[in-house]
Amino acid sequence: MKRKADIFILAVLFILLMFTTGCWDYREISEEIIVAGAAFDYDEKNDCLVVTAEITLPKSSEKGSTFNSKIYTSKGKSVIDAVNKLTSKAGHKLLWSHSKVIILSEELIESENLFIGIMDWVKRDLETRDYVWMLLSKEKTAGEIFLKADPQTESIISYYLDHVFLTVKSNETYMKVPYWEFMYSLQSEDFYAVLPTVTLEESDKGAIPLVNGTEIISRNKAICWLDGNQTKTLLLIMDKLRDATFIVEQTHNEKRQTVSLRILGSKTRIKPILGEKGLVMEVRVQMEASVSEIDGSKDIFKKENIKELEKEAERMITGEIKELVNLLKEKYKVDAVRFGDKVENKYPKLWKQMKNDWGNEFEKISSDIQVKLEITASDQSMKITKAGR
Amino acid sequence: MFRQIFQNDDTIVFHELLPLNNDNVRICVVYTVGMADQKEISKGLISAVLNSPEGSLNRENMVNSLKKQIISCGNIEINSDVDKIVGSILYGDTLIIADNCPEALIVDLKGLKLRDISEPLSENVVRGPRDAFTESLIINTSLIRRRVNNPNLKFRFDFLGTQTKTRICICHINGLSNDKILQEVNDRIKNIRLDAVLESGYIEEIIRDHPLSLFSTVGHTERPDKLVSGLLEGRIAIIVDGTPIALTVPFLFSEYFQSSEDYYNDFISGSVNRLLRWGAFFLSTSIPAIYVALTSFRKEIIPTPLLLTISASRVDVPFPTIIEMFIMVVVFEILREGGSRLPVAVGSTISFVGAVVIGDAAVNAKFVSAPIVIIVAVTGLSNFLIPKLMSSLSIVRIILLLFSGVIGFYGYLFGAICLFIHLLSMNSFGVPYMLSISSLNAFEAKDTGIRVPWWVLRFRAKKQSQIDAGEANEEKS
Repeated sequence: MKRKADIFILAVLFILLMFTTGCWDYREISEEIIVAGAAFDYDEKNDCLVVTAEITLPKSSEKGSTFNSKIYTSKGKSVIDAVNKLTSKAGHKLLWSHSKVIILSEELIESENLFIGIMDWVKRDLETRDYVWMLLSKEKTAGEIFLKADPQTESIISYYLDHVFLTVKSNETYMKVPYWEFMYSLQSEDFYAVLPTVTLEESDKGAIPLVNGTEIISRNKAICWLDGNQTKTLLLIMDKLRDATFIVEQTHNEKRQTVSLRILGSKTRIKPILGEKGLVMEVRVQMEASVSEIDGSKDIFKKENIKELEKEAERMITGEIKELVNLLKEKYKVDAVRFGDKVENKYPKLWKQMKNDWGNEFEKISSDIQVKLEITASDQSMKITKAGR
Repeated sequence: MFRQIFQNDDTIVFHELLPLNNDNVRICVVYTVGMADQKEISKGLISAVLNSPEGSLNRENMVNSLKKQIISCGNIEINSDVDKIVGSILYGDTLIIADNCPEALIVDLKGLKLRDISEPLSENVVRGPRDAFTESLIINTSLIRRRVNNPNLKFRFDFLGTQTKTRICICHINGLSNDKILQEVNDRIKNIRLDAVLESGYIEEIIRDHPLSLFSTVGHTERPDKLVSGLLEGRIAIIVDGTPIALTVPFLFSEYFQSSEDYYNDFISGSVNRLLRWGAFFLSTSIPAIYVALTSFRKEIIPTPLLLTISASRVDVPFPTIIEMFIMVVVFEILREGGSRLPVAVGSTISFVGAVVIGDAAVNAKFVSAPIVIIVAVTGLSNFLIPKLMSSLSIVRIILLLFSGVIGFYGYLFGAICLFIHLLSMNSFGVPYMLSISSLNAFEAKDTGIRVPWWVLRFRAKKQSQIDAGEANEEKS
């Protein structure tokens, strides 16, 4: 009897469990069209949202399968409205779970409600993923990127951009900002976020999308744009730089020579110190680099020359950091380097007084920057490449 | 009287003798043509009786003197039980009866023509002994005895089948096997009521613990070395006359994954092969179901390039994925069944037709998509790693496929959980079926997933029999 009761309870539990699962709707792959990426624009004239979606169309032939990308555009009062119109245009259900990029335009960010609407939709929709890359278009509209771009190495633009974020590392002139991270900084108290920017670069076979630089966004305003080099410095201050190259200029026998240093590792520590002169941010950068290119004939591998090179690189990087911090402080009054967080961690009481007027307080903070760079490797050669031996 | 029992049967020969030197004595030799050795009968029996010295045969001690002085054949038995005598004639023994004598002599002069000992057909090994059991019970017992020169190895004969009176033999090693399990085996066999036992499968189906389960709790083998290793682990073997397949009990689930070759090769490759078989078990039961769950319910799990490829291959295919998969799995089963029953010459046609039809034509004609063919091929291949589970796995596979076709991943997990609950609830002759698989103790589980080296394995037999004993005791109390 007991056994029977046990089986009964188990069966009931199993059947109940069945109703706790999420979606279980059977849908064939071929019934759905995969959306690779989407761009959102604001149409001021009609006061509506413009969605430009890139979809993949599989084509199978005797030799194998290929994919073409097709661009669809639709307008709507809200995101759902526009996306639904897109669906009826495509004639298939759209599968959003494999979309890789979302491109926004500046105008859209400035039209506050639609911007929030998009962020909400990505979060709320069942299929859109948190790790979709966020981008800001520096062209007139965001849709242009899809409509005009033609990357030669990939047939699908969104997947090309995905590759750019996933694999290309050699020179970090842009940030990788997935949706969740963007959302997180949007929701933080000082309400500012960064987005990588994309432009189109003309080439003889059509435009190539180029991800370069960073836009700093506060509330619903695009505040300032940092170019690739500044982005690199910003990453360095935020201790996010993993792989980058710095080019150091030297003079040798009254000739200029440049040495490229590849960063093998870097560690940045920022410590706020409350002294007599008010807050001082102590920025300490420790870097390890390898020589990856020498454009000149000076033998930098001599001990004193290496020391000199290190010094020069340190000076240069310190200068760059200073320049960027000053730019942010004086021109834009935006704490993109996140000094505020450090102050909050160390002096929570002080932070409470300062945070309401952090923009102005930030301007007053002075910083003490020290960079320590060590050259530890030289890639594959310890010699100088010279003409005529 | 015997003429009456055996009337209308021309294979029974009655040979009447009148010994030369002894008058008034009539002796009759009865045997079955083809089952008794006629050469031996005429040389050792008939001529000995005919030429028996004068006075050696008289009524009083006829039987004894025949047995002790005259007949020069081994294994003579005196018996007066008619049933027993009839049985032994039919089994190939030769009977000697004399006029007015209440007792008869049964002389073992079997001469049945039998297949030679050959290589095992279903359990091949690259390295290891090449002999397999044959249809003869006596040869089979000799194959076992040859491997275990130990007086504790016991054989007990019995008859089964009210019509066929098939001989079976229960075999175990005294001291290693568990008495309670032995008793249980004897009891279950005693309770068998069958007309005929033509193969050990008849017995297996009746004595197994869970008759409705897909998984058997009785092992079978045609390899004497495997059977002996089972005996040495305390198992009990049942050998049936007329079939080369012997049974072993208790049988654990993990034995499906063990090959005797694991123990003949070095332990590293043995372990790798065993892990491969466990992996194949998962693949063979699950990948069709997982594929359907992934592509029809959980597309976001698939990496994008793979999803693109799959979706490209599905272009223009008319059937839904689940139907496609179902068709291909069934077609594979048809091919497998066809291939295994047909004679070798026709069998190659089957594989050719299968390869062309499934592999190429169906995909080119857009009847099925290419990934499905790959999935079914992998399923089929991994199926062959566990030949003894082949047909049960096919059923498990189809059930899981249907589950996942209805409610996706949840259905698959649901099915898998049910499968494991079922397996874990099973017992084989008082020993848990999943013994040492469910164990978290590394020492107990050591010879399950991998084949550990011999020096670690040294204590295994003892431990195993202790567990067996413990379980059996628990059941009794």
